[in-house]
Amino acid sequence: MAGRVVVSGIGLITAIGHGREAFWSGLLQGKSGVSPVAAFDTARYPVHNGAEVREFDPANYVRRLDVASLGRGSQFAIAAARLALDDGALGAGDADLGRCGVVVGTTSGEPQFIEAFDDALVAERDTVRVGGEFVRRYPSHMLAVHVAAEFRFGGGAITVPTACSAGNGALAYGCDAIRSGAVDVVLAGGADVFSRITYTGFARIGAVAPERCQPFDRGRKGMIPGEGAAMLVLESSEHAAARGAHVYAEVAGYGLSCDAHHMTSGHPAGDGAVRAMEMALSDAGLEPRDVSYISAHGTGTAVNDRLETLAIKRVFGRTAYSIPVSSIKSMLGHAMGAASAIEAAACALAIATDWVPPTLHLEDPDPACDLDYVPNAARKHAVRVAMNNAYGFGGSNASLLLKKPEVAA
Amino acid sequence: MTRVAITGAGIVTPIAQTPAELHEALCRGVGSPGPLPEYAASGLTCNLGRVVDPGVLAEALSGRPSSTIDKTGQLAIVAAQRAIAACSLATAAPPELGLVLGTMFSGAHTIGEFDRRALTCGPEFASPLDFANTVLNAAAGQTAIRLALRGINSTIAGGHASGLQAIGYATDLVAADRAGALLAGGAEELCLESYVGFCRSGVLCGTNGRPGHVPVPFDANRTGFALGEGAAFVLIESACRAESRGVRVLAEIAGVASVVDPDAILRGFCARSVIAEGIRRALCRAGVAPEEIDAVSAAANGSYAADAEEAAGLAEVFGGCAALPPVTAIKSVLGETLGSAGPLQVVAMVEAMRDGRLPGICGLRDPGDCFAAGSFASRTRSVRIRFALVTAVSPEGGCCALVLRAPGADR
Repeated sequence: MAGRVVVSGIGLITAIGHGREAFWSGLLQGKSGVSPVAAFDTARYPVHNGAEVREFDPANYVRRLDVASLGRGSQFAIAAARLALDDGALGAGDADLGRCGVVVGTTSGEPQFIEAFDDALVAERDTVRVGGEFVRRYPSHMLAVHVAAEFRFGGGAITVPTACSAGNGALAYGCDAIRSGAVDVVLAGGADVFSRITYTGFARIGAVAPERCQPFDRGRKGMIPGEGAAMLVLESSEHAAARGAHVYAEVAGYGLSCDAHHMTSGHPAGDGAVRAMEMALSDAGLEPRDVSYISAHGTGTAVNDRLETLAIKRVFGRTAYSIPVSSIKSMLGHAMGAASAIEAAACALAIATDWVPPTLHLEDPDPACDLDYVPNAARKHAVRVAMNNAYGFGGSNASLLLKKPEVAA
Repeated sequence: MTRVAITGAGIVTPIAQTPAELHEALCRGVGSPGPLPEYAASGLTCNLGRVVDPGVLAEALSGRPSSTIDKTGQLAIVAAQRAIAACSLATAAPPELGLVLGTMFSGAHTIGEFDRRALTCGPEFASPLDFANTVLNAAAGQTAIRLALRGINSTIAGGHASGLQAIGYATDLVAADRAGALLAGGAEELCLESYVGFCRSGVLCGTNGRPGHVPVPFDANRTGFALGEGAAFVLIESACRAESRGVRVLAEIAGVASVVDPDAILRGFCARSVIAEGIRRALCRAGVAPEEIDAVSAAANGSYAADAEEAAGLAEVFGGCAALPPVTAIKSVLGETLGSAGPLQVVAMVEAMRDGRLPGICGLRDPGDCFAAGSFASRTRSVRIRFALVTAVSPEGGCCALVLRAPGADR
């Protein structure tokens, strides 16, 4: 494989804390970001909990652009990007900005602007209240454009809106952009905000748990919608070496596939998920036994956790039982398109620290979910290769493999 | 780098249903978008636009239930199935055909309707079926289900440049041997949300108190663009693979590049220097010199500043207006079709290469001082096209340039 790509900076805005250190210590301590929804009134909903980002002041992160002109999604993306650049010590003079790109994965983009559009339309029964800013702020590409504008990156700005696998999709895109030689550095990750539309939809299909997210537990009652952002500095290994960057992990490979089966339900035998994992392993030139940690999609819904377990066992065989698998959605809720970017950050940190985060609230394992899910307490564990799995509406599957920089293919 | 070939193309547009029909309509100059009756009573200042006849979609989708698929999804499915039908895939169907779809608004109308129903009637009345289509990749997912596309399934959002960026991404994936064959293109629906949004922002032709204008790219009297809708996909695969399965290569994608102007949102358009840089990078990746380009399909849509910047960016690359090859701009006929615009330009240019005629810029009367009249013309011209440049530019700063090479073209 031409050109190695490394992760040299990590920035996060999450329900359990902002920045790499707060995030990682929160995960290892089993901190939960779930609380009653504050973004809107849930009185008419059957459920009331969410995993929202708290104590977020965009003015701490946005310097060049006008904060008031930015949607919350763009604010999250810029904040995570600034934290990642600071974490990676990548200043404006450390790279040719014309060869730095941005890729942001998302499920909903900036949904608050279409919600405001709808509020105006429903209240007035006319379009007169819709302002000219709607079309400049709502479209999802503005997430990436705003990040590029804030940091004066010129090497392309793309949003990858592939639902709940979007973070991995964006990282894959960024990785290829570097390998193709088009750019040296890419800020890649995902951002999603707590949305009335998303919450309504998941509540309507009965997928939202009333209290907490319990992946792989017999009594699991669903997911907890969340929000947040993670941006990673992806960099060619030559570029990172030339500037003496600290490297957390190397991108070993990825696999993307589609179920082509159902818009909202996974393939009953996990076919698409299996193909994505196998493609990632093949791309990385690694065997199933080389994988030391799996970050599960692990939403906490009855169907997802059972299917995902099945798919892992189909790919890894008996080895599956000796690989720790955990779902940090038990702590962060489901941050939608940002989730797999946040989980990729967790994988990079697992590799860098040799700790794996736990699956919280796993008290009575489902017999159909019989892997080692690292229940309730973080574990010291040598992580040489981590697999990050993500699945989304539309049958979109994405598996990303990260490894310690010294692991050979 | 692996050579990447286009071996099939499919479109859905308001004026044509096959690439050849589109080319004919553009060469004939079938006129500008007309009034949209749906929005006549909206009180908005521009009521021009061009939409796909619902009967066309119903007929193309006949025999299969499609009521749970929104219009963006239906446009994507029809264009994708037409591209597959056009490329003799049955002779060697790839086991895992994938899809890369560019779109700006995805199913914004479905999202809005879902939300408005919950607002009006209560969240317990929101439709679960509509919810499945509220994700921004719904059209790509629905197309995958309908056409059994189990390979890579990606959606790319880059504003007006989404579709060309999707073809660029797919080209890189095929070149890197990550996919055997991919459908790449875009789909965009003209909906209440996009229409009202653009009207309110004052960028449509005739807004800002200048009614009666139609969109004419590069015309001195241009006042803005009109919206259109449609979908277009090309099937791309490595040239070796196309050769080995004995299918006709329509064109090769010689090079593609994407850049962004980080200052565009501060001034409202992408700067000429950034457009020029995008074009130079695409030419460089293609190994093609500016003077080898025989024709250009520009992104220009009738916007005052953006068209001038694009013309200036082209002039910068080609060494002045006088050195420009013939330039066409098809949005005076199709309207600004956003995510599907770049793919429609690619499909139209492939037809122009085959046919040896480059469509004129419909309605262009006064190219103005900054555009050389010889390059920007309203008349359809005979041009032997070996290499062609296609550009897509978003007012928020994204710019994508793609170089096409005619089959058998040599230097």
